[in-house]
Amino acid sequence: MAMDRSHMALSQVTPQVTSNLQQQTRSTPWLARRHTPYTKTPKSRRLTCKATRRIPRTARSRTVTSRVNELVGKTWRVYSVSPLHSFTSTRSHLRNYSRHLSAYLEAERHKGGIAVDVQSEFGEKASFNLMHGIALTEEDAEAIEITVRSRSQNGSKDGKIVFTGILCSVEYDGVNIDKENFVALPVFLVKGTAAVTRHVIAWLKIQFDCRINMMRFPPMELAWMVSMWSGLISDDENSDVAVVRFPSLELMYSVPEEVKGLKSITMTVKAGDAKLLWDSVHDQDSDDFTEEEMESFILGLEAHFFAHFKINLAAMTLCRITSSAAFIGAEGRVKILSEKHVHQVLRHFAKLVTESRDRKSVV
Amino acid sequence: MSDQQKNPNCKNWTVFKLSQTSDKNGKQETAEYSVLEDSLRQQLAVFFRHDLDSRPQGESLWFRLHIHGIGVQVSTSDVIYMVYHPHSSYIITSAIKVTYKDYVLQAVLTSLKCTQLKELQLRGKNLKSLADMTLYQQCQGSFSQYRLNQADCNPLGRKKTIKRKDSSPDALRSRLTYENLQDKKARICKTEETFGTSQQPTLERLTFQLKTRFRGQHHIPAMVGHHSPIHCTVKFEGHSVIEGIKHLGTCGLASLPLPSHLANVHSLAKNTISLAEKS
Repeated sequence: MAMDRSHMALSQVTPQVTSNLQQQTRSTPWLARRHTPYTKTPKSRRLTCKATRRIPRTARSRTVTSRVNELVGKTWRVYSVSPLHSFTSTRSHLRNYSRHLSAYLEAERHKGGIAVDVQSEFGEKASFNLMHGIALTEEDAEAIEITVRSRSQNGSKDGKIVFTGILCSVEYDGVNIDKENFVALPVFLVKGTAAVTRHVIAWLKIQFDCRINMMRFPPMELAWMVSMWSGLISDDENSDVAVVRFPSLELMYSVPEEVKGLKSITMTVKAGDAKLLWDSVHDQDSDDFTEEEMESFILGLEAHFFAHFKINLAAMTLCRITSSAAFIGAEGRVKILSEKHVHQVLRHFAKLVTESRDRKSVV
Repeated sequence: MSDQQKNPNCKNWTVFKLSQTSDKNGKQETAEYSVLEDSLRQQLAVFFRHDLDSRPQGESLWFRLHIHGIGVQVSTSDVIYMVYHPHSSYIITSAIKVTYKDYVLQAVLTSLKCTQLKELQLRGKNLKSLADMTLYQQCQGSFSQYRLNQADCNPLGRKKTIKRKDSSPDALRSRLTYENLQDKKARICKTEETFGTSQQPTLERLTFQLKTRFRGQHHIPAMVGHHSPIHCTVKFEGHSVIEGIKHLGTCGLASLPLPSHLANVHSLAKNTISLAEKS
C-alpha cells in the first residue's frame, strides 16, 4: 500500500514508521536515488541571517547575558538532530534530565562502557542549562547546553569537564513540525571524550526519540561556505587592517592516493585579496549568493593556481577550508573564528540539516 | 651520538651556507676532526659551559654539543647536532634554541675560518636528502644517472638469460585496455627527462610565496583590468613531496611540461620559493 509521506505530519513519523514507509513506497527494488546520483545543490543561498536586527525575544531576554562568545575559538564536532519529542526547557525539566543523564552515565560506567581513569573513578555529573544569545527569533528554541563533569576526589562540584554539547537552532525552517510535541534544535555542537560523547548521544536518542547523525561536509558544501564567507570583511577596513585582523582564505585539497609521496596541497590567499575577488564576483545589491557566483569564485582560484603550477586542483578533493568566519573540515569539525559570525555559521548548518531532511523525504 | 647517526630522520634539520673563506685559494682549510673539535670547543667555552663530542660518519663529521643549562636535568633542546662535510660550504644543524643560536653560529664560523654564515631556506627531516640537494645541486633530476653511475652498464657483467614473468601491474591486468596508452607513455617519458629514474630527494614540505597578477580572469571577468598582485601561499605536504610532484605528471593530474620552478625544485636547494611578476 503506497502512502504519500509528504502529507503526513512529522509527529506521525518516527524512525520505525519511516522504515516501513520506505518499504511500502518502493514499487521497484531500485532506490530512486539511483537515478539521481549527485546530491542536489541549491541555486542560491542567503548570506546573512534574516533577523540581523536581532529581534529581542522577550523583555526578559534583554537582561540575560549572551553566551555566544563561548562558541568562539573552540573546535566542535557538528551533529544533525531530528526534532526532539516531548522536550521541555523549563528549569524543573532540565534538572530532571540532568539527573537521568547522570544516572545513565553512572550505569554505563559500572557496565564498563566508560574507561576508568583516576578522575572518572568517582563518576560523572551531567547538567542541562539554557544558553542565551544563540537563538535569534521567536520561532527558534532556546539553545541548551549539556555539560558532563567528572566528580573530583574531594567531592566538590567543580570537576574536570569531559563533555560539552550545545543543542541550538538559528532560523531553522521547521515546517510540518508539530510544535506541541516536538522541539527543533537541529544543530548539536559537541566537544568531549569519545566514550562520553557516544553515551550522551545514545541517551538523547532514547530519551527524546530522535536521530542524531554526524554531519560531514562534502567538497561542494565546503566550496559554498568558503565562497560565501570570504566576503565577510567589512568594506570600511582597508587591506592592511584586514591582513592583521582577519585570517586568510585557505583551501586544502587532499591528493589521490595513487600519487605517492604527496598528501595535500594548501592554497592560502590574503584576506584583503580574497575580499577583492569576492567583490568582483558577487552582486553587492543582493543578499543571496548564487551558484554561478560560487562557481566563478572557486574556478577563478583554481585557474590562478593552474596558471602557476599546471596542476588541476579540480581533480583533487577539497577537504578543509578556512575563511574569516570559520575553519571547517570535511569530517565535521568546525572552529568559529569570530563572535560576529556565529549566527551565520549556525544558520547555515541548520539550513544544511533542512536540505538533508528534504532530500531523504524525497527518497 | 651513535643512535642519532643511525636514525637521523627523527630531528628537524636546517642547512647553513658558509661563504667568504679567509683562505686565499678559496678553499677551506682541511682539518682533522679532532683539531676542528678542539677549535670549536675553545670558541664555545667563551660563551657557555658545554660538552662537545665528534665522530666521523662516511664523508661527514658529526658534532654533538650539549650546553649546560640551569639545573641538573638535561633538556633535549640543550643538545645540538651538527653535520659538516669537509671541502664543502655547507653545515647542517638540528634545531638550536633562540638564546643560543647566535653564539653557536659565531663559534662555528670562527672554527671553520669563514666570514659569513647564511641560513638557507632548506629544512627537513631527511638528512641524507638535504645533504644531497646542497652538495650535488648541479646533478639532480635526469643528471643524477651520471652521479649514481646508472648511465653505462657494466661491460663485464653477465647478461641474464633467464626471462622472468613480467609482474608489473599493467601486465597483470591483461583484460584491461588503455585507450590512451601512447599518451601515458609520452607522459612517463617527459617525466623521466625532467626528474630522472632515480628516487627523488625527500622533502616533507614545499612552500611557494606568490605575488603575481590574478590569472583566473576567464572565470572572474571583473578582474581583467586589475594589475596589482594577489598574495598567495601554496604548500605541498607529504612524506616525499618531490616524488609526489613527479607522479602528478604520470597520473595525469598535471599538464606536462611542468613549469621550471616545479620541475627543477630538486636542484634549487630550498623549500621556500618566492614567485613574483617580472618587472
